[in-house]
Amino acid sequence: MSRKRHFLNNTSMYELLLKELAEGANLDSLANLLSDKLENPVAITDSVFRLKAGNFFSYKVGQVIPISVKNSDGTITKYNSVFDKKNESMFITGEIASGRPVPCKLLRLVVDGQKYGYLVIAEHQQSLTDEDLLLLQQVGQVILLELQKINQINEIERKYMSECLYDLLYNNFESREVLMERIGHLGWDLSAGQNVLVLEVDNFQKLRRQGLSIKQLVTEISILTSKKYPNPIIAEHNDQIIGIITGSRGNRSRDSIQKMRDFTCWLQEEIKKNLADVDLSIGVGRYYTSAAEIYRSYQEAKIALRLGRFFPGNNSCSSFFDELGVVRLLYNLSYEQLDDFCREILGRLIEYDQKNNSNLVETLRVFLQCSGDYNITAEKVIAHPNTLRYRLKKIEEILDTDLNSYENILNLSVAIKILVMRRQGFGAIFPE
Amino acid sequence: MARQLGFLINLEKCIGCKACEMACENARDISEGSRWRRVVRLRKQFKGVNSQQLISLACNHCQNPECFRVCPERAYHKRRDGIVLHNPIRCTGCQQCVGACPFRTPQYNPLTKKVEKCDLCVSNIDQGQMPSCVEACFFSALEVVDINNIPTNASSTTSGFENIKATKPSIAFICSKPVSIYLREHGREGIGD
Repeated sequence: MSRKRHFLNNTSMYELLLKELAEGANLDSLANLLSDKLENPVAITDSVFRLKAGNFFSYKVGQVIPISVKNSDGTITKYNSVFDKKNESMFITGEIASGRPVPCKLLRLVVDGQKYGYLVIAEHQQSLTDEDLLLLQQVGQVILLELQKINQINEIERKYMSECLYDLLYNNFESREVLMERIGHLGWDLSAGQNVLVLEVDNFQKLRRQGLSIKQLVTEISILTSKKYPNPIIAEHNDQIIGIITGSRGNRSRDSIQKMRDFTCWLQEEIKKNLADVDLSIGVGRYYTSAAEIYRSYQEAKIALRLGRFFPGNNSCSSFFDELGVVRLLYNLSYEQLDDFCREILGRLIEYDQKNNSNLVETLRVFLQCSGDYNITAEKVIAHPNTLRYRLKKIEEILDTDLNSYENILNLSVAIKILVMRRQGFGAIFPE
Repeated sequence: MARQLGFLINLEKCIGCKACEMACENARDISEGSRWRRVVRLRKQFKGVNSQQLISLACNHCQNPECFRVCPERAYHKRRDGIVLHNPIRCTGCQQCVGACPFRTPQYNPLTKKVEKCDLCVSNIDQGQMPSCVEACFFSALEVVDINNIPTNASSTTSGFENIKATKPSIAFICSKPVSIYLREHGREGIGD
């Protein structure tokens, strides 16, 4: 008799929610109705437990709810995608790990393998009964329906946004007025001047192993960036993440670069802390005051990203087009021309190294990188300064050059840069 | 992945007849001395033997076009299908793009004092047709394809082709197979001899 009453109760709740939905209720109202029924706080979250709807303690929309789960060996860990993959049951028991832990039940909102989020019910006032769980299963379907609808709308918006972004990145608009009108529809404010950032995941497989997608990374980067810069535009394009950052201009060009460098390092750290252990390479284009010049900054950011990988600076997470220097001139020369120049300047030294199993090219590279400082170079190549002097003299002998001449140093620096690029896979394998 | 149109050249089929070159000239009313498409002779080396390869080249509609980046007049734009177009109205003929393009594709026209280049016959493409060069190729050696979905036997470069990947040229090649030569062993008689 009691089971029948519960079933009838559940059915009426299910119908009530459907009716509310039909009358235009949003996710918040659904969560609140459910919360009243269960007499416990209810939250609807996305796949990384970011609150989407519901009055859930003092959490605000967009804030991550820290959920912990008990492993099979009894240890408690932060809920992560690995645990999610292993655990196939419909309800997961966990706890909200902030202040005094509160036990909770999680219902996965999944359709055809696509995870839309979670329904989180804190067992704050009272524990959930079997009938409550049955109700949640039914109600979960209604919420899933609403989430799917929201996702479809978001998908259309995303498509429109990505088309507009493409046009912005490829100068594909008739006039500035048309451009401003289109970006105005999307609520983008590009009147203050901006830089373009191109972010690339170094290891996609590593990202996938952690059960993450580029979309999730885009969301995370978007949230993090908005903490530092107002209204950033973050989107995926051709397996890269594009960021248009406004208001990044400092008083001097060097200040802007330093500010942006600090930001990119912070971004990497935060992503590693919050989302996943992934390495990002970041290229940064120049700052332009007009939205119509964004395409230029984008191309520059791509070049910086590609070339920056060959010359990772000290503790640098990103590379700047402004700082590429002579490499900017080298990158669109044909590899044959680059190889010819390199062979002409360094050929004999490379040959000597191969024959004698020495490392003079590397010594020269470090020496030039250290601006000709004997002590720092000696430290880096792990040699006595006198040994270094002997090696440099040997280099001068082999190359028949004078390392005190600016002209020679310039040629050697350029040749070394080419060598570094070619050996790291810029074009075909360097013919040695 | 966004669509990126580009040329697929089948080197096995191309005989260097220059029909594509002429079709381009006729279709676009290109001024004398200017060639948007040209058939060039590439030097190849296979197993130490030098040989030549004829290849038909035009604008590669690069994914990172340098012409597009350096133009101070914003005369270039890239359509959603990846075609890089040049707007002659904006062009002042400064020729920065001519110097920046590693493939030397944009060409300066001294008569109009503007730069011009292959536009992949966009009007044809918009009507679902092929560019004139592709239509003129008797051996179907030239095709326009989405470069992100090229056939498995195609590659992004070929021996002798300027190996510049930084701009990501939207071009692919189906390379010719090395020619097999069968020689009769000295002193051995063949069938029918």
